[in-house]
Amino acid sequence: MELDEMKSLWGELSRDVEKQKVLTDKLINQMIQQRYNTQIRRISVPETIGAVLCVIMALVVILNAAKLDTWYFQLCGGLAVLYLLLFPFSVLRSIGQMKNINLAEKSYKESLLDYTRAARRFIRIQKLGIIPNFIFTIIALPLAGKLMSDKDLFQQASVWYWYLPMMILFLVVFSRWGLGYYKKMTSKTEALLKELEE
Amino acid sequence: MEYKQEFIEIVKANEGIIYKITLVYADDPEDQKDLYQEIVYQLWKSFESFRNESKISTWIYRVALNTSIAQLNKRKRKVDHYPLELALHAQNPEADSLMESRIRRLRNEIKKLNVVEKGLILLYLEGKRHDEIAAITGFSVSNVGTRLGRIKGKLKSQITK
Repeated sequence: MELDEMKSLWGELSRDVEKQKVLTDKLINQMIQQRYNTQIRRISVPETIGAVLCVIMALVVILNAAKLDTWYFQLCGGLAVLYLLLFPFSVLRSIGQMKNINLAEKSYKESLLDYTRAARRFIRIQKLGIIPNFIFTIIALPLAGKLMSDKDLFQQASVWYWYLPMMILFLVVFSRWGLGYYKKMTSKTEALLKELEE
Repeated sequence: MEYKQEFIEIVKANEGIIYKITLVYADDPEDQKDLYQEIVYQLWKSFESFRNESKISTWIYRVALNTSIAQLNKRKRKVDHYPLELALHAQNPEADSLMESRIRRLRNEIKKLNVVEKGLILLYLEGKRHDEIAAITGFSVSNVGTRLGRIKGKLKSQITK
């Protein structure tokens, strides 16, 4: 379809649209109220629960730090606390950034640039997160064993025969899938950035 | 109350713009309804800061287009139900199917364009001048001309393929 034909089709559509009024005062009021409630629920509940759980788990590790009596458990404890506190912090920070966006002040180009840069930042964080996620999954089980029942799973070879291969398999599958997805996303955002900068 | 009533009147007077933008950016009727509601909500949120600083239509296009971009990568979710009927209806079934095929053809053509081009073509089809498109999109006037020329070529090459 050529642009001129498209324009005439659009003109016909516009005339049809103008003839039909679907909005009423009540409907607009309902839309604003419902969306306001949904926004509050959607943003605050899942992320807040996740963040609170992470902070509680970090506190459990800190309060039971005395039980971590070897250097490797102390190292695991430190890494776990770091991971559990940084994770909710980064999530809440990104929510805060999203909430502060004023859609009326920016032009279409600026919004697209913001969106593309945010996507690029998100991809970078996700890529960087693969290794800490893996380390946390590896140390979570022995750390929980030590804190809950004072067992040193690092010394129990039988556990590692199934736990380590399972985790490595998980890492390989997840990373291959994840990196493929990130690669696709990256090339899409780069193409969009190039298009905007032309 | 007067303030809210003013907003309601503005939205009602410009509902056609919102409808057409959702038509371009949404993939299916459920998405369209969701985007429509989000645009009305974002307009309400920014109504106070708007204060007649720009033309009403410029403000509506800007917020609606930016909301559409922000919605692009959000995961699909179940839409809260409210009685909004977005499907257009003509006087008789024959005219109704003609309207449907018109919308379908337009949608198919617009889907061939990327997100930057979508916004530009929409404003062009709305009859906006190059300087108005530049004010809404943030591209320079000459850049708008270049890009529209490129879109024209792209659409033409789709026919010859």
